[in-house]
Amino acid sequence: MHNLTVTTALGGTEPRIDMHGPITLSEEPGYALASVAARKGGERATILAIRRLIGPAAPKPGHIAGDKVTAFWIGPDQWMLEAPYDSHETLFEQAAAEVKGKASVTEQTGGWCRFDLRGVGLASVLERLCPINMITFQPGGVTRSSIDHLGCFIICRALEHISILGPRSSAASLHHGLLTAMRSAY
Amino acid sequence: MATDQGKTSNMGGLAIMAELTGKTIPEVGTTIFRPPYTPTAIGAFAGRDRGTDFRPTRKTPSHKWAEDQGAVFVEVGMWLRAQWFPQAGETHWRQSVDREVLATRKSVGICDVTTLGKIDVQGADAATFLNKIYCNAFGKLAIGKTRYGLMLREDGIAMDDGTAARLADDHFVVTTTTANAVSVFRHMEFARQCLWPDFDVQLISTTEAWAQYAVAGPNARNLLQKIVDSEFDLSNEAFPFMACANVTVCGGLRARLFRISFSGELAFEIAVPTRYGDAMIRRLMQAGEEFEAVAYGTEALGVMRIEKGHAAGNELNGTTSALNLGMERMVSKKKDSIGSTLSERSGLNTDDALKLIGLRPVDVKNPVPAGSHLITKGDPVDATHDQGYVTSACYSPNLGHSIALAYLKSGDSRKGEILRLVSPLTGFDHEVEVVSAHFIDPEGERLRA
Repeated sequence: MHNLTVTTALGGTEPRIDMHGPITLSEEPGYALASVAARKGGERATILAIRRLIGPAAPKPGHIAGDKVTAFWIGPDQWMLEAPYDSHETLFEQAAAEVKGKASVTEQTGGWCRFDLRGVGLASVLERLCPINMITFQPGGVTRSSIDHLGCFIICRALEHISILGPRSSAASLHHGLLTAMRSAY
Repeated sequence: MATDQGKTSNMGGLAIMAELTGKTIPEVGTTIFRPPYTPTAIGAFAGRDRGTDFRPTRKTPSHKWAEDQGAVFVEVGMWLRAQWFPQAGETHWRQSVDREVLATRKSVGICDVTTLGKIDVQGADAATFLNKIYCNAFGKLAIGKTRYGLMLREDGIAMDDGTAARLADDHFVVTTTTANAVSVFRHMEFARQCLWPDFDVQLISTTEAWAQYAVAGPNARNLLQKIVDSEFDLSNEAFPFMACANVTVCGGLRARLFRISFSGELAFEIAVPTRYGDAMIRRLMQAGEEFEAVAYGTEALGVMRIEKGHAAGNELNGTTSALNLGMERMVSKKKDSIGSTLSERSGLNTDDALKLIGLRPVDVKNPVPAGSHLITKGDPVDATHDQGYVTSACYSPNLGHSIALAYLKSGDSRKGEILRLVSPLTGFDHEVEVVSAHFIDPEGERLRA
């Protein structure tokens, strides 16, 4: 085993946590990501492979599904898989083995940073960040929106738990935007 | 209506209309107002999108390490890149850059190249697709090999360049320049979705998924052998110039290794998952101590690529063709690719077309400033007699004088000619000699070592 040290997207060795008012903002480096895009003629096989990977049926647009390994829709016949990093560091290899050449799989772990917002009253924070309808945005919902000029995925895991996936290189800019909105709301 | 949304012009307009029609202003009536209804400071529209909040900052995983080294940063495509790394006693940037260049060519240098765009191209038609995107051939590129590729716009003008590495029959990794990473990805997505929707090809950006470092110089292999796990043979026979492979480093971490060279030296680029980028640059510098390895920034990178005669953004400036770049033979006639047909337009292929050449000052004490224009000796200095212009210039610490890359009419057949290099704006007017654009190692022996 190698002994190289991991740094988080914000550049620390430990994930950053900020608390303000009723909201906790946490950096979440502990997840692996892999994109799955069906090849021509492999659309059905890809949907079945995703079901084998996550349990429930492959989610439709705007949704996330699964338990330990989850998938959310990112484009026509394309999904992003997410799973705990410690147990699924090479999630892309697991996915590639399951799709058996019917889909293109790409490791995406390092491409994204994830920040989780937890607490009562997340709507007041989100409505300052992006034009999501927080009344219809329910658990299991995923949407793509621009936050502080950054293209992000926003995932509603529970009413009091929302994840934001943004481009890793801009983690500091995204974190600044999220914290500013928290301080503005509360 | 503009920024006041008619609040000023509306009243004036209504008054003129009243006068023309012989009515009073209230009789003419008003138009429908649009918000804002009261005067509003422009700053209110900008809101918090000001200063550094106007657009995001992009940082590589070794940014903190670079800060610790005292790096001076420059913004490139929203990324912060280290320009040079000043050391104690260095008071002028040229001292730092010259040191970094000389040390790299003498032994080994390490440069953060994470910012270069990376696009994962997969699918049964991946090679066919790249054959359309690049003007040169990619269909027969062997697995485990990397090739330089030139992309043309539809009008035949050079758009971007980079490399494509073939990791499997149906899997390539395309690299783009830092500033064009997004526009090239958008261009490729347009081609995939709209031009050839029947191709089986999938694209996704992996720019940020990998931290990538160039290791360049005569000791590059010796250094990397301490990093790459021993089961991977890095010898010239096993891993020659333009090879690529999935390897492991530091005892099992997955990595990608490419033997590509922008500096003209024996060089590799090593990519590791982003979260290990900081650890990797520290490990590389540590392993390089015995070779007196230096970290080098974008300025040294620029000096070395000018010395080598490699084109960059200054040469692919949106007005130049493959012919201008001296790469006309790369535009394959055996296939159809984006821009190949219009690159044959007669206007782009005149006998006196601009050609990329090198320049050296006749009096070596003189600079060869970028933006200056070339005039034939004895001719008047005006636009009609313009022979070309300097695109990139630097001081070459290896040659001991300034050098430049320039576009010159019929430049490839004018080697040895003495021209006037003038800048009427600054009064610069000195003689330069037309030379090969390859100032260092024109035979390419170093990068194949």
